[in-house]
Amino acid sequence: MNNSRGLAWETGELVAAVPKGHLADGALDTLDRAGFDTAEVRSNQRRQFFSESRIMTMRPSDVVKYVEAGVVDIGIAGKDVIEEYADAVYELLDLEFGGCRMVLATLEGEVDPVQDALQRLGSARIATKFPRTALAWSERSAQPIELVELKGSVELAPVAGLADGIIDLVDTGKTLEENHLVVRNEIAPSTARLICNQISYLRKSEQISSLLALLEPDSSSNG
Amino acid sequence: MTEPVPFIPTPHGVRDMLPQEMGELNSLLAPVRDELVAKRFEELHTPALEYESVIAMGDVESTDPAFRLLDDEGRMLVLRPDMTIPTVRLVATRLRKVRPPFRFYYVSHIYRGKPSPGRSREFLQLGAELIGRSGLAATLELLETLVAVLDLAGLTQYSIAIGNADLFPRLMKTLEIPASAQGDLIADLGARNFVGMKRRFERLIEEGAASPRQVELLTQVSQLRGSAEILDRLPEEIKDVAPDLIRIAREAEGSVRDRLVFDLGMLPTLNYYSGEIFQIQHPAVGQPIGGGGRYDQLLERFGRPLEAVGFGVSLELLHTAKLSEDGLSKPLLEGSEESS
Repeated sequence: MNNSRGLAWETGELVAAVPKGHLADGALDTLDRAGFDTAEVRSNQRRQFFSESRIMTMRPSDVVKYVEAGVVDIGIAGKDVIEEYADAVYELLDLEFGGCRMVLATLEGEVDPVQDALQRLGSARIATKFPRTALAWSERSAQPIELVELKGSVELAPVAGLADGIIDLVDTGKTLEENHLVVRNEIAPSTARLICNQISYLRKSEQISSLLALLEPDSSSNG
Repeated sequence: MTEPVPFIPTPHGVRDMLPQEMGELNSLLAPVRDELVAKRFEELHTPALEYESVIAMGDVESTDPAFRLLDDEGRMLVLRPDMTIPTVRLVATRLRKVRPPFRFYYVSHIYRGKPSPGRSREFLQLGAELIGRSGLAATLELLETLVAVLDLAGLTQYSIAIGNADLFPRLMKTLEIPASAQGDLIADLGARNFVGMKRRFERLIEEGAASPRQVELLTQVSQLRGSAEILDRLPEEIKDVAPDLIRIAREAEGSVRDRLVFDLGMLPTLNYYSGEIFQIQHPAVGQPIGGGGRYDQLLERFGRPLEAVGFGVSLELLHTAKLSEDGLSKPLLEGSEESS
């Protein structure tokens, strides 16, 4: 079988999944430090599978799926994406880049539309691309919500009247500002994490330990 | 375009198994059954339906039943999420006058998991239970049986990851980690969230509730894994943290020893496990294809205290692993129908 599952299975070396988008540069820098050759990946935006460098590139949320299925051994993903999409990946290391925050935001103004809706209607309509995260927050904070699951930019939803608030990932906060939105609750901070597949964790334990030693030189005691 | 197939659905999470798949599963199984019988394991069948309260005597939360329904008297039933608990029920009730040890095997469907689009909730499981033989001899016998089963099914590349369910919790107690922190640390280790664990450890050090050395020992043990040599690398202070694993490494026969990978940070996925636990891993499948362990306290809850150990293997994942080894991909539904 000459497919991708074959690669992680056949090679004794680690195969990595790298997210496209805002974590891409940091992720490739990380792999450089870990001894991967990322030159080809950096020079070619169209290809996704670089078998000679043992790297695949993909949408951030797909990284956890590829790692979970074991078609790659390791991956780099934001904590936000892990919380939303992962069922069984091992979280090895906080890579401490790509910092951002999961927040609840609403239109600016003295009245918080979410609190207003909760008091007068019993639940608030929340637009989000992160339904699992939103429901977990709702349960944890005992604030009933009605979920409006969107795929695109959710900032439009409160402006257009589709939702009372949004739960979304915020980097600088500029997009919120431009849409007259303000943060009402900080839900969780997020940074990039190194994750690995549960079978690879044992099968390629030595390779993973060497990788961790390169990425985290201060912890000499590991494995 | 081919003519559309009439859409008459099956419920979410279950599927049909057509003759080619059944044929391949049966040819995997035939030598395995013979071997189990030769090793004095007898086949058992228990009902697909159990009272939820009976499953709850074992563990209803982590066995995670997929389907619940009410009987004619309003009692809660589940489609069995597990075969170990029904086997224990039988040993503690109808078989209570029969002298142990008991050796049973089964090929049965279990029903587990939350609804999720396109995800199976019905699993065909091959399992074996050894009940009433005590001590490490029982674990070793079961591991030998497991290796024989997997070998006869034709797998060559599998390994058996082995740990001990009590190891990390006991170590935390020995090192006097505050009881209030132990639950969260176990939850993090269970999910192998090492980032979360590290945070909690840093907080414990800051609060003066743990010393850097204690944290170092716990971190080291939680990540220690590999062949039997890792057991020699245990730090002096906690040298006897895994006596059973050391004995297994020493006493297991060659065919078993060659397959073992020791994983000191392993925690059980089912709450009734205690002592040695294991996972069956195959490099072509991204998740364990089976698992097992000792459940020495489970029978007591049913009124007949006996030591016990068992394993279960997903026949579907075993089949997937076998096909990968054979270099074949699973035939598509259409393809198999056209060729028949």
